[in-house]
Amino acid sequence: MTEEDPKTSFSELDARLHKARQKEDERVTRLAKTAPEKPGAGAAMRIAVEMISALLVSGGIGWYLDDWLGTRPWVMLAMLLLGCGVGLRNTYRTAMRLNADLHEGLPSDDSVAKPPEEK
Amino acid sequence: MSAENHSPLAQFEIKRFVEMNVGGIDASFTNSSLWMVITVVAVTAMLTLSMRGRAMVPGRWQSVAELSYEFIANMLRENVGSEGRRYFPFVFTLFMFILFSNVLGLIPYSFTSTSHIIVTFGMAIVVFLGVTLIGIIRHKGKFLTLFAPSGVPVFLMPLLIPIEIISYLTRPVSLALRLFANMMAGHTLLKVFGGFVVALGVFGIAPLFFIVALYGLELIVAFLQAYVFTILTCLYLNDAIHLHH
Repeated sequence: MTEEDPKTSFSELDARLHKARQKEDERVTRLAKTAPEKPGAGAAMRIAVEMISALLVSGGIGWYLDDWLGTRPWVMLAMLLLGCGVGLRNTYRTAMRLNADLHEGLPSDDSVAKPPEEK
Repeated sequence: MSAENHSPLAQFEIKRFVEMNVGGIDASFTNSSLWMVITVVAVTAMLTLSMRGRAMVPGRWQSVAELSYEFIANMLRENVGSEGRRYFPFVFTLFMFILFSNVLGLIPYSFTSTSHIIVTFGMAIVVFLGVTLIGIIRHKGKFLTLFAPSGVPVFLMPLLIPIEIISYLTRPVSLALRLFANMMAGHTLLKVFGGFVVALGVFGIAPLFFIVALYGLELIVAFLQAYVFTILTCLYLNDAIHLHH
């Protein structure tokens, strides 16, 4: 066995370990991105929930504002309209994200971290 | 089981085991609390007992514990980055708690605490408030830029900012609603088809097969909903830390 300087062999090992770790990271990342199969019903549920929760929240805010300002139906109606907009926007975002996951197979980091903007 | 309790919704009934009243608030120990305690004990037992060996080559249980650790660690790394590391304990606890209560709820005669919206909403509001506080502490006033979408003409701002704010406020509601609705719908469906099996006698074999399939699906849903809740927490955390939408 040829004698090596223990320091260089350690740093070599370090480099190899680093490389292996990086490779494993990439593999894991890839796996994690493709792993969770989304059943169709789950996707539909996610989209429906976005719409409902937007309407609930904006309607609720409107209701309390009405109570506070004494303008019974009006603020709530306006907020419900706004809520429709918010719901549509959230629904669109979720749908686009699901779409991106489906078609690209391996979505880039960005598409997972932030949904595509509608401008 | 009593005879009159055949409604598919009877399984969601809250039963008070120990009546308690703290300052006018009903804080009774219920079947829901009991199953939450069981969930916490089960998670703790599984993680501590399985890791007791600390073997280099993990056995089955140790692998499960290590896999779940890695699963969440990777999720945080991918979606939040290295700064997400310090929030790992919270996110991991959240995931394990939801996963275990979903799965434990599938055991016959057990109770699914996540099928009650107050429980899921409680968790969602903690996530929401926590994430908002983290964002405010990290970025002070700049946190508000989260509500101003970039690259939009100024005259649209008065419309878009309220939309962004409401959209931000819907987060806890949609988080809570999604988990609750999935769990409750699944369990109700199981119970309804369970009723068919009894009612149809010999022909009950058909819905019985359906239940077996549905049960498998419910197991997937139990995992998937825990996953969705956790990954959305990660995404919200990412928004708060990096301020891009």
